[in-house]
Amino acid sequence: MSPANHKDSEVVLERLFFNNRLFVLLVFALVTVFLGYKMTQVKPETSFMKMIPTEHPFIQNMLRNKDDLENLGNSIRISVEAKKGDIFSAEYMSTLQKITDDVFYLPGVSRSGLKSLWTPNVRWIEVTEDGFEGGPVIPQSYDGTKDSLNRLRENILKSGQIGRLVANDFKSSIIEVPLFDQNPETGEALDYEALSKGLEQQIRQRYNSDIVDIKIIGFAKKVGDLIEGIGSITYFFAIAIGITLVLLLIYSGCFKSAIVPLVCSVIAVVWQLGLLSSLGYGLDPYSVLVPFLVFAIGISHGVQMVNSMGIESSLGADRLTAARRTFRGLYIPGMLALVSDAIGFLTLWVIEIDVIRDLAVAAGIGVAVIIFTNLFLLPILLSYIGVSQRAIRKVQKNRERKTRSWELLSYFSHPIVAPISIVLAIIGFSLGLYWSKDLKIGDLDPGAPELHPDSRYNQDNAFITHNYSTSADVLVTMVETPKEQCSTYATMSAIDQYMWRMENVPGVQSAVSLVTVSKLYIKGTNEGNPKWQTLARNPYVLNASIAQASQLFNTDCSLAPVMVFLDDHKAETLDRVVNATEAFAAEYNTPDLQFMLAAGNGGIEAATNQVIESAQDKMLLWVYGVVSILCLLTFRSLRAVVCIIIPLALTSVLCQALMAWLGIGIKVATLPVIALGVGIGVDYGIYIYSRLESFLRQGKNLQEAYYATLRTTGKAVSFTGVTLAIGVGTWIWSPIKFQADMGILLTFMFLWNMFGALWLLPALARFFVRPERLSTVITVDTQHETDTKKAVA
Amino acid sequence: MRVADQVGTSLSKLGLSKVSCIGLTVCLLFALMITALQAKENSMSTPVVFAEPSALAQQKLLIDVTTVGQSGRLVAVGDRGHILYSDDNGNTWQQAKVPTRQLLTAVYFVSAKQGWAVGHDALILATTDGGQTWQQQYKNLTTEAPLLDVWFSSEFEGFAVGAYGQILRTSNGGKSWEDWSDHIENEEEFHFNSITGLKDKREMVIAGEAGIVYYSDNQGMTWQRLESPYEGSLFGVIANGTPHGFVAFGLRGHVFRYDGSLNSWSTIPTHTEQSLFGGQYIVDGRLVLAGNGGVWLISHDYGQQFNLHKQSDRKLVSGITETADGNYILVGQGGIVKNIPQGNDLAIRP
Repeated sequence: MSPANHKDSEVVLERLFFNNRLFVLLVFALVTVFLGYKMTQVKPETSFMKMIPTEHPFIQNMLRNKDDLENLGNSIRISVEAKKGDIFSAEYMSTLQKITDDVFYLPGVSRSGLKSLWTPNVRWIEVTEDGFEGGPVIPQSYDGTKDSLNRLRENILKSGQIGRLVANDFKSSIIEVPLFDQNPETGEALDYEALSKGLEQQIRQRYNSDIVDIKIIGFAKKVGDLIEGIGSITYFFAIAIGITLVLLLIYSGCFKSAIVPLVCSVIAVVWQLGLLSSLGYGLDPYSVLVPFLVFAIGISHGVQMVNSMGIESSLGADRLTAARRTFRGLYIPGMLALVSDAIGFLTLWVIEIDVIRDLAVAAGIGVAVIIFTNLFLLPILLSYIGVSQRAIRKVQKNRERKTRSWELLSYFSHPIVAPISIVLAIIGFSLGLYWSKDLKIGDLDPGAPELHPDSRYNQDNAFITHNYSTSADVLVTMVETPKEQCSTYATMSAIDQYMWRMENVPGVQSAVSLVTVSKLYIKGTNEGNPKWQTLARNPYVLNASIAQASQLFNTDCSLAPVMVFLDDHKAETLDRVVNATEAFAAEYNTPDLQFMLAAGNGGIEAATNQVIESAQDKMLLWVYGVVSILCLLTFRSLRAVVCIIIPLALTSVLCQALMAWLGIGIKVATLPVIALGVGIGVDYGIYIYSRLESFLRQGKNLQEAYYATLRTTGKAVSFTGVTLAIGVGTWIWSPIKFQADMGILLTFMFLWNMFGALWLLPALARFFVRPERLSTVITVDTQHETDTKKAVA
Repeated sequence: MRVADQVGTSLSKLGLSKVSCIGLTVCLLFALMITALQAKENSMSTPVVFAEPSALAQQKLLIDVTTVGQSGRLVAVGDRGHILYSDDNGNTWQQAKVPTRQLLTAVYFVSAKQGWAVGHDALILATTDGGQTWQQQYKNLTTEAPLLDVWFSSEFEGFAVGAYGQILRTSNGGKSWEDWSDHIENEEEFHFNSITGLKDKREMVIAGEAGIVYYSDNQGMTWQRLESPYEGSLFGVIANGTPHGFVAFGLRGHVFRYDGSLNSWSTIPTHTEQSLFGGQYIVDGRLVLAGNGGVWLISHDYGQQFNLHKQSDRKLVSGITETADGNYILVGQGGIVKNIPQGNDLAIRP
């Protein structure tokens, strides 16, 4: 870094901004108004496609067969539980009828596929001497009397719906509601938010009573709940602003110095959201967190500015000069820190999941915006407003007082304390590595992993999985054949064999495909005799046997999904199924018969886990590689890199141990934490090391230099750590589970990175930095610096 | 020929003369053709595929179960070529080595060592070690129909019956099987669902679809059709321990008792409308039947009355037998279930 160049560019930029202050303010105001307007148009977005790794071969297979798999997918299930007794009461049945009618008219519902005890497509069948006999489960003559309720009970028993539409304990029944992804009349995409609201207001709120209890699950409901969760994050933002304001007031002791960084940081958020909206991005559950980061990073830079402004003012400079000096002194390290943040975020790009890439973009834009609002706008504003006399006095007082705490902290660089710190760090590393052995890939909790285990959705889900014989976790294998070949004996017996293999895999509950239906049909047409419950070699019999199973193969009979129902969606379970399937495919796949992974939530999670597993190391490599190179470029010293990077690495390892301890898996949501934590965490190291180095160059010994460093930036660094932690700490109360997980981990990383920089960095410096070399070799530079300072003064 | 050319050029690059190159190429092509032909031949004769050993086998569809002669061993057969045997009255089960993955429908033992099982693809399997290993004796894919029951009067003479009026006879322990359908009149090709010998082993009965019942008093040489008590299907027929007498059962809980001395049928009330698929004559006038919806029936009086039981899971049961320690083993849709009889169905031990 050549100071001469800096000076030129600084002068150019400084002149540009400070000689046209009013005009610059006007431009900023106009841009803020425009982007503020844009911001109001930003829409919540939970596109399913963005949350999955669309480039993974599993997902490619799924997307290729999307149309044929459609009727497997998007549906919701409404459980209506009888609070008194069982479902065989006139009161319950009439309520169920009303609910069924209301659900029928909800927008987005595929009415022909709607299933409940009251819909005519739910039938009972019985084998008699004359062949089949059957009818709707609710008899034509139903009138709510005891007799007709008894008929209903018999019909349900004969219908085979126990465990599917009727709970195993007869205390609840289900309304199955298939949805249109696209409205067939208008072609509009399904409005999850409206549907979810409709379900809440017109179904749950209206009918929840002392007669029945409503429970609703399904992908669409989950998305609705997520959108609702995005909304509630606004409150957290307000809380974060409030707490930060209080801390700023305490820190600076001056209203002006508190409000200016706050306003500038809010403007940064407005710009960031406005730009996102202008670029056509929506707010998804991940990118909604970026404003918090932008706000917190903005505040931390703002604090540096205000801090410097106070110091300059206390030295006697007027507002404008103080602001100009502040700008001049901080704009380079500020840019450097922000650029390293941005690069940290951009390494998220290696995760091939759109929602994370959008997060990278949103965070990148946010950081870029901070350069304008907090490095440019803020000093200009300060040049008008200035800081109060109280703040200036506080700075002076601080400078004169030999702060006891900083003195104590400076012992971290002491020749006796430093080795102890290093040993502690090594122990920390070892323990962290040991504990993080238990770290798992993927989601570990049952139910919808996006939401808290005790959220209403997951409670509803637990109720339904407990009382019905269907699992919510399903991995779908697609069996592809040439046209009209899906029902040949060769295909079907291979599928049968595959299903049996799967059922023998631990963690698999059952497998269902057209073979299941075929066998039951053949048994049924043979008077229910189990001796016939197998695939027939006769092609006519086989063809007829799957006629009823239209959902289990596509229209030209070239694709048959096999649904493998699982105990859970833990990575080990998914791995076993994937491995067993791949082994089976290797054995049985021919050009005309392909067993292909994977769809269903299990398939998607298996793919996601694979992407995450491969991205994990790549991302660590990138983020540490890039940050190291950045440090190397800045300080031209490998020793500096070691001093800055090792505390970060310790934090990363401990963060993984924390994840293992809290039972948080490595998943889409937690993978970015490392990149964000390291990208932002490196700032502390950069600030502290750069000051430390400059003091060492002045010829101070290490402990003196570190003490001087702490006195100048220690407060700003610790304040930054706390503001950042508060910004992300509020997420812990988010209704969305992964936001809460991110909150816990990022809070830990921001605080511990700060601690690592204050504690471990000086200890490492004791061993790696040689003050003699710094002070002798670079005296010229120091000389130059003092010269420029004098010149400016 | 392009491939051959390329092989030739690449060989000539290796420094071989052109003539030897052509020669080599021809040889190579010839070898390729032979291997291709062989591969085709191999794929046409399907190799023997054994049933896969699986811990789940005893929880999945099993059709028939029997007690093996004096040994007290239990043998159950069912889906995917699963044959399971137990030597501790059904507490633990081992899976036999079976050369098929087809659904097996019935099993019969003539002694502690020798037994037969039949199934789909008109399979007949035999064992000579009490059911631990099995060999295929017969298979016929052309009929596209299963065999449904098997019965032997001695270790040499036996019958297998099945769908569409299939009937096969052996007089050499199954070394060869002979189509016996010429000896029984069944123009409509009704299914023969079940075959059994009576108290006198020269007497045999076949029951089947649409209530058909056939009777033979000469070891199956000739068969006569009995007047049917019922137009619905009969899924099983078992001896009831009386001279000339037997019990037939089937659709919707129907049970009929044939009185050998009066040559007449009587309908036995069962108090269930669930179809009955399997049964066994135990000893001392004790008969057991099993059927749809987890129902099973016990008679202690040669089939004059039955007591009704229901499995709590209501899963279909189709095979039932008694163990040496006086319990009942049921098999069906949910695999193997052991039942301890209660009340007046406590088995009376000699």
